[in-house]
Amino acid sequence: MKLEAGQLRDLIRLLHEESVREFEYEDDEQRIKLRLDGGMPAVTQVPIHHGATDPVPVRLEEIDLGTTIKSPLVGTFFRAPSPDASPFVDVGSRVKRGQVLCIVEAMKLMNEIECETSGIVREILVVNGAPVEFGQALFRIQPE
Amino acid sequence: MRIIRACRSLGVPTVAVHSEADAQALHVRFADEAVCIGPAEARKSYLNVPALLAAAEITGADAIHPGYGFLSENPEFADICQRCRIAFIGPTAAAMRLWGDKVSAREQAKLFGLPLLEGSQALRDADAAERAAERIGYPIILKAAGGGGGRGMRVVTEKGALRSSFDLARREAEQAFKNGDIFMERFVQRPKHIEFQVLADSHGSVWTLGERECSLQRRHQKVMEESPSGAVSPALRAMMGERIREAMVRTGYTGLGTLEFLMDERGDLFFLEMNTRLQVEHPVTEAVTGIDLVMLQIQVAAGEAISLPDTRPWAFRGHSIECRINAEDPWTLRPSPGLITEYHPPGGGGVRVDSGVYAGFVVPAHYDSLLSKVIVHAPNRAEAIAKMRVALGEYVVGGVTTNIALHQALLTDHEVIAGTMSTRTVERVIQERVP
Repeated sequence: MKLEAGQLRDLIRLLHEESVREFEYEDDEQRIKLRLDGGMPAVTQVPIHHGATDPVPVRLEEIDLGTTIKSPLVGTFFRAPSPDASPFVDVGSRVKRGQVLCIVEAMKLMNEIECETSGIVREILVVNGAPVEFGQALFRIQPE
Repeated sequence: MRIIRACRSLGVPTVAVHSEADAQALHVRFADEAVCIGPAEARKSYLNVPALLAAAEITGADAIHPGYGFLSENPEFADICQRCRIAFIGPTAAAMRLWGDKVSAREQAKLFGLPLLEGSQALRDADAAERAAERIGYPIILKAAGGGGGRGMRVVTEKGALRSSFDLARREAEQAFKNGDIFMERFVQRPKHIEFQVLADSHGSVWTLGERECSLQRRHQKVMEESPSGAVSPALRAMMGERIREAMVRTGYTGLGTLEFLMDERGDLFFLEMNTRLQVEHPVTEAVTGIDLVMLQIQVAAGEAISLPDTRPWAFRGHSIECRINAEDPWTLRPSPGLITEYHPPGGGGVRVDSGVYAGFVVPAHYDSLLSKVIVHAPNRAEAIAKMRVALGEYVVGGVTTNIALHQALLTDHEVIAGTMSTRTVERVIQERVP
């Protein structure tokens, strides 16, 4: 099954999250080689045609992965300080380093999770009220 | 995996909590749910009480099985679980404090007629040491009251060396523990390690399930264990079983527990300490008694009344041996973490393998090196030894070094075959291999 650009992007994101530096994959239809060097991935996707002799390299446009904020503890994820308050941040919010992004509640203790970098919130990866484990990705921030 | 299997048999869903380093562990993959509780460092994950309780909270867990090591013998943790209304699968915090503390346990042992090695209280000076040594009889061992690890420890075989040894031991203890208290014990040159398994429910019923011999150790880590022990006669087993049972009933112990003893060259047993938890070598007891200890442990924690036949006098079924397979060099003990490239465990009648690994698994460098346990069961000891040799010969573990070669050496050693091994045997076998 040949991977489309969107699927490839998701794959790259997943690998980046898992701190994978190099990745190679081959099946009957394609060979993919991926190298992540400090945030700017270099991708070569090579379709394999049976009988073809020259591989055709395809370059994807550069994907800026940004900074992932991960949960430092086990608990329940809340977007707002209380049920009727408005959320700390939304997608597109501008945030500053040290700013509170969310709460992870454990054993009735509310732990404020702070942003590590200034930038813009690009993605919120957890549903409000869902359980999270140590190291789970919560937000994607585009640094600026 | 052992715990997951027992839970599955009982229809109990499981949540595996793990550090980042253990994300690919076998039991994590098989559990119904998994929660990562912290980084590889144990202090921040497996010993991280808030993280453990938070994981129980978000998954709605009713009980925690602490396994062995880590928090399994931590009374404060048992207390906290109780306060959070989570069942702790193990004894009560009070029972842990009573029997888990070495000094307290020795007092209990004395009360219930479990023999203790002749010894002394803290010795005031070299004169007191000499008097104690006369009373106890040489050889003796001087030990520091403030700590272990060999510091402040001296074996003295005859009178002439006592005074200087005492002074040296005292000075060492002062430096190491800021506590110069030295006490004395009779020293047994070549002891056997014998331990007795108990099971108690919360309705007052107690069973003693015989003994295991765990003399084959290296640096105080057990290597090979068996049940029953050829050194324990039926009469001795019955007597110890009776006294231990009484002690458990009267102190209100619940769950699983193991009482460890030292056997001297004359065949007399002396109480060392009690482990208030499930032990690694429990499968050999399961083999010769036909009982699933972990299932029973969970049922006890759930408050059920256990119905097992009265085990007095206990009758064993055959003989069982367990070999601990570690990822390490068999002779130097150097750990060998890394990727397991090939994996084929032994099988056949009477061969059980409790394993945490598989082909493609990366053995982490952060924790102990135990990969799996091979347990054999046969009608008698000679056949059990033969069966284990065959089983280990079949065991393929590619990519890491294992201690299988050490086990094969032990299984052909004259002392092991005769059943006369002591806690010094493994060291001797290794030295004979490595000049």
